[in-house]
Amino acid sequence: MIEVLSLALAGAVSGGLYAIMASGLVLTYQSSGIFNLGHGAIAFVSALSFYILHSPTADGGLGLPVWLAGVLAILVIAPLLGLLLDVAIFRRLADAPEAARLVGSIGVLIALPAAALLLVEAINHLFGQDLPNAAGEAGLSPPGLGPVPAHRFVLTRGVSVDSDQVAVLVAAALAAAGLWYLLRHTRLGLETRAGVDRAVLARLRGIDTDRSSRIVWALTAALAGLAGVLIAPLFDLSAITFHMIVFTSFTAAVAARLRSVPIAFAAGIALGVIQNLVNGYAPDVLADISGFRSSIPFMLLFVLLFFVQGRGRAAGTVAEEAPVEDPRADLSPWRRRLPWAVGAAAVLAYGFFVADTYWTGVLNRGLVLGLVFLSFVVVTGLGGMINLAQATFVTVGGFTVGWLVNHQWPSTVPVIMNNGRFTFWLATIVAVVVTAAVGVLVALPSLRLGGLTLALATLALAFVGDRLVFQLNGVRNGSRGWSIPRPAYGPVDLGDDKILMVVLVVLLAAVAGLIGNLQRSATGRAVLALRSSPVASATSGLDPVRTKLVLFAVSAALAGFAGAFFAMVNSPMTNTSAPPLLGLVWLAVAVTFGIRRPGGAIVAGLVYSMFPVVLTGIGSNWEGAPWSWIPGSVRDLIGQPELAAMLFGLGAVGLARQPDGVLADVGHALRARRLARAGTRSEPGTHPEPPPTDPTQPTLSEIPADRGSSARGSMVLEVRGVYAGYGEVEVLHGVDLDVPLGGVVAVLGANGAGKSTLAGVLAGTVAARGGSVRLGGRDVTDEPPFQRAREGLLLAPEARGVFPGLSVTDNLAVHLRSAAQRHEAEDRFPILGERRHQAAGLLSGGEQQLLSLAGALVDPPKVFVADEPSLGLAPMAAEDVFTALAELRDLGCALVLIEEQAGGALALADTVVVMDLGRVAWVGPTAEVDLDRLGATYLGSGV
Amino acid sequence: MAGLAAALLLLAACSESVKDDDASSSSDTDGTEEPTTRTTRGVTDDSILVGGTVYDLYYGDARIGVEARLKEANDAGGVHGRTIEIADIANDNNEATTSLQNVQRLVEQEEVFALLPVMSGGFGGGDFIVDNNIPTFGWGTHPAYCDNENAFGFTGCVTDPSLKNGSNALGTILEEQLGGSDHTVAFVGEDNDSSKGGIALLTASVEDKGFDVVLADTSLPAPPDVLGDESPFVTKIMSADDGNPPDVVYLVATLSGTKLAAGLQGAGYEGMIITPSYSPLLLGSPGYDEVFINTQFSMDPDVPANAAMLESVAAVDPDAKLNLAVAAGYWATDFFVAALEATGEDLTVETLLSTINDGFTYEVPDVVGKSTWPENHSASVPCAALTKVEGEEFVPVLPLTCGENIEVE
Repeated sequence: MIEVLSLALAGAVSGGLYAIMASGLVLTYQSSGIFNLGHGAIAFVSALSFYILHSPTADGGLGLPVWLAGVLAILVIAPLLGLLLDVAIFRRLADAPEAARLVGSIGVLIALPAAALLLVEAINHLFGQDLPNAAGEAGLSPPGLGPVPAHRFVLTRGVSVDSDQVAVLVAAALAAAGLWYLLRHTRLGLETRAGVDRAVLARLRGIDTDRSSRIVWALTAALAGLAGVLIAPLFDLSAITFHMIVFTSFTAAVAARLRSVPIAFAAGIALGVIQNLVNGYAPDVLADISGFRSSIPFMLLFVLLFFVQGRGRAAGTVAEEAPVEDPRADLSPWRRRLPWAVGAAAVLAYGFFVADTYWTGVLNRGLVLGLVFLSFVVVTGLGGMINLAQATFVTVGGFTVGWLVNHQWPSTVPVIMNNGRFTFWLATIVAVVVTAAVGVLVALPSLRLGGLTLALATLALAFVGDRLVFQLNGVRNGSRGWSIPRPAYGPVDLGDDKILMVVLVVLLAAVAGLIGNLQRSATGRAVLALRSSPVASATSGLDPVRTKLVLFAVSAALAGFAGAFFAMVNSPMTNTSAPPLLGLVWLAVAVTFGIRRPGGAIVAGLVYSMFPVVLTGIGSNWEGAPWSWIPGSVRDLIGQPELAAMLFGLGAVGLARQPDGVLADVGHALRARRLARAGTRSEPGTHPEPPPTDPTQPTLSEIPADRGSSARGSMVLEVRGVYAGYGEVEVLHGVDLDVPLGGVVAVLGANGAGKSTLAGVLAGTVAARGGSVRLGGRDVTDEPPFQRAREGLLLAPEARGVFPGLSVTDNLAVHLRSAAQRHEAEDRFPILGERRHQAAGLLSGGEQQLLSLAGALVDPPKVFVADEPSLGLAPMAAEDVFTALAELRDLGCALVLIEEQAGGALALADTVVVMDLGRVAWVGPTAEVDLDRLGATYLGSGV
Repeated sequence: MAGLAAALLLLAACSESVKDDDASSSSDTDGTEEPTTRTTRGVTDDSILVGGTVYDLYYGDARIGVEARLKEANDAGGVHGRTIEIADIANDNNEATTSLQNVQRLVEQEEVFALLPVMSGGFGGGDFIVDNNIPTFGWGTHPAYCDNENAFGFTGCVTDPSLKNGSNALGTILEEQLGGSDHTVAFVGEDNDSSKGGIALLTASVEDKGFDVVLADTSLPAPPDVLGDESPFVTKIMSADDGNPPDVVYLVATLSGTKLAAGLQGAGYEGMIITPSYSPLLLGSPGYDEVFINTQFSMDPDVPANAAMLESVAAVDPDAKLNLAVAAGYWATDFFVAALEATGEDLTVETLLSTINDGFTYEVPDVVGKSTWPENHSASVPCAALTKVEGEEFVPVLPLTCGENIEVE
């Protein structure tokens, strides 16, 4: 028993690392929507910095004392790195589709360690330093924060912990306590939680979400840095170790449903305990299966994923995307294909007449990778899903073919067999079927759970495959792997690299054509519908799971098909030929070049294969080369493998700028040139003329439109000639609005008149393209929402203006900083006091609306804009709301009430503004409103 | 769709044929057609170009050993008038595809005569060197060094992929060191099938001499995973012999070995801990002191051949410390140079390979055991030496001792 307890305690120590990592993952996911696969990269960089700072000068380090090196690495370098990542990458990705967000973080995973090592190399090369980078020190753990050598404390016989492990435990406990305090008991924590819950609303409530996001990134980076410095002495200083610890801690983050930092923390500790107990007490039957124990965290991850989808967040995990614009849409089909035909001809001509054996081999590898990358076009480009296990499918395909073509059967069957071994083409077909089946098995349970869940499920699959299945000697044919002899079909001898090249080009064209057909097929259309609106497409009878499953299976099958050829050009195919992390790199490269259309994938394959070769070539000492003018030290740097890795990673990070990839960029540039040449370039900034009014309709033009704006000077809110819209659609075509101090303006209009857009322009959530907004005499047109909120403009948006995930008290606290004010609000609305600790999302609609008004009543703003305050409320509840609004008016607050139906708003309003088709159609005192006429003309008949 | 279907039909229509891999083109040229094929890639009248691929983290220092031995040969006027130049010794990061690409680049673009050295756990160029008949030299710890006529490990094929051919070298030195075989042994390795295979061979090695293997556990995390907490393994080992600790613990683990050793020592283990890691970098780390190191060749710096090696190494890199990678690079190159000398002035790929595969033997007295070719394409050299770590020093305990090759069940 004592042994079990000591083992559990010792496990908790190493679990502390998972706990710190998992908390950081959850925190950033919650605050920015980014599940940072590259979290380990931050840990690695700060561990490397610590190592360089702390290493004695004799070893090339800077020889700083432990505490100083620790402070610099954990509290300076790591947070700065976090800030940089936030500003340069993650914030820009915040509104991107889930796929782009994940791939952006993969870019960080790849680029950051490579960049750090390259920087060390560069400093060493260019400045003659000798900074250590810990390479070549296998099995050696760098010193940590604790004493060196570490002290050892014996718990029971055989169970002991050393001071480095104790450091982990202490640091983990401190980090946990600090995080908990920060999130629950500080203003920053409240703002962060509010921003997480409803970012737009948080901005409307005066919270600078960019600032809280920055702080969270700096904070989590510091946590990662802390873990990194702690990890190094326990393990070693290689980036892959850090990535693996982070991947393992995904299990803890998922156990917390990616929501709760404390649960993630506890789950991390539990994970360490479980690992230790399994290592100590797993039955021998399981222990005999190689890799079983190493894959336990990932099996757990797979299982836990089914529970991840908790309340509320489902809508956020399904990417609702606008369809992409094809820059070549104006070209005829053959004109669109022409560049590809020319490109294929050029590649073939080069391969046949110019390239030597080596370059033909490089081209062939690139073409095979093109096939692999085409599978990303199907699953990610077309389906919008992320598959992190594509390398696994390639391995499954390769191993299937390897087993089939190498297995000797006692008898032979003509056509499909060759001297008792299956032929390559038949083996390839089997591989396609097998990978499709594996794909279905993985996707079926996880598909309905949304983008990130599927991505993590595939990641779990990749590691279970890597550690368990692909480790089995029968599967991988031992460490020598499967050799794939190259078949010949009469004169078509794939053993000849040039013939193989032609075959690959033909296959690529065929598969690209297939994908094109798929895009235009019923399935393709269904997917497009699904991506732009899952809800709508479900209600129109599309089965989203089936559609996605088909795509996932097709993609897996394609990867298996590519795997057959991958195994052929990389023969022998081993379990390390396509490891899981390579799959992540592939995804990053494919996405960099664009995976909406097949062309990008093929180019990506070729570039991925050729680029490092070219860089190595430039780096080598080739006499008389055209680049010999480059100084040797710089050439050495170019030849470093890290440079290629870093550039590929940065490519993926570049998604923040162009989510459709490099080729789309090129396409748009070419189109702009075509248009410029044709002289039909539309001039931005011109506004269409107002449509001619229909003479048969009664008009209200005789009513002076500037009636309400006569009392200029006492206006608290002035809007002049505002134009605004979304994308290419302009909604407001020059709107004026004046709200006098303490006055009440009702803005009425039919559905689509532009009322909510106007509310957005007032609050700053929709940018004005022309005109101005003045608040209290100050021009606030260019100010962000939180700034306007702080200056006294409060918008209660159309949906309830509450943070559903925060408690009632926290909701009040966002606006009311002092406890006294909050008590006042609870006194005014006793129901809120009673439900103080409940999540606001659990209140009834009317109660939520009151909650959103309560803060304003206690601390009235200058202007309160209520967008459809009574929408969807029962008459009784609506009455309560209007009573509260009247109270607000009596406190001297100006109101803008936006309503579709005149209803209760008219009872309060001094001035009525009627909007129609993005313009102000009528303005006048409430007393002059002719309801019948207004209603008949603008609002539909139901006034 | 139609296009692919047509392509498949076309493929199916033509019957598929594959070159019979048992009678590959390379062995044809070795035998009967020898006079007609003369591959002189990378060979001129006065130079020979070589290059290799290594996993820098483990074998990066092999470069120093290779350079040291080549400098010796070149300073002495080269081999048969030819100096040996290195095109590149590239890092493959332990990745199969990268090592294959390195090898393709070296052969097809740099046009090296032979691959020297190839030392990487993830080597993926096995088929390439056979299909293209590339002479390859290094330390035969990878199965690419087994069962073909192109690759030569200076201690033979170390880990037979079929796990049938082993040696009793470990049993022999243990018996020598402990003065008998009435002892219990525990093996602990990593959680994958290659570690399992390696431990099967080691188990056979000591059982052949009569030792009692009480634990053969392969559940340490395998790279890239690293051991987080060693306690469960320590508890298991400490009670492996019916509740008591075994006399000998052999740790076959690259990254987790010292950590586990430290845990064992911390728990009061007093028996013999053996590891295969001879690394000066580890000197002074907890768990390395008092540990025995089993190596396939002698690392004793006072043996004359090693002393000479250290002198050459110091000539190319005065700061270099002796470790396994340096030594392996040096002896692999020494093997290559000896083979070139034996081949004579008429140097082609074919003459080199047929010379070695026709009864060539290689031995460094008291340092590297004798290998005979082609026999050692499928068997390791059954020799081992033992070193002990004492504080910051390596102390030779047993000189190179040879047992014999055994068949494993």
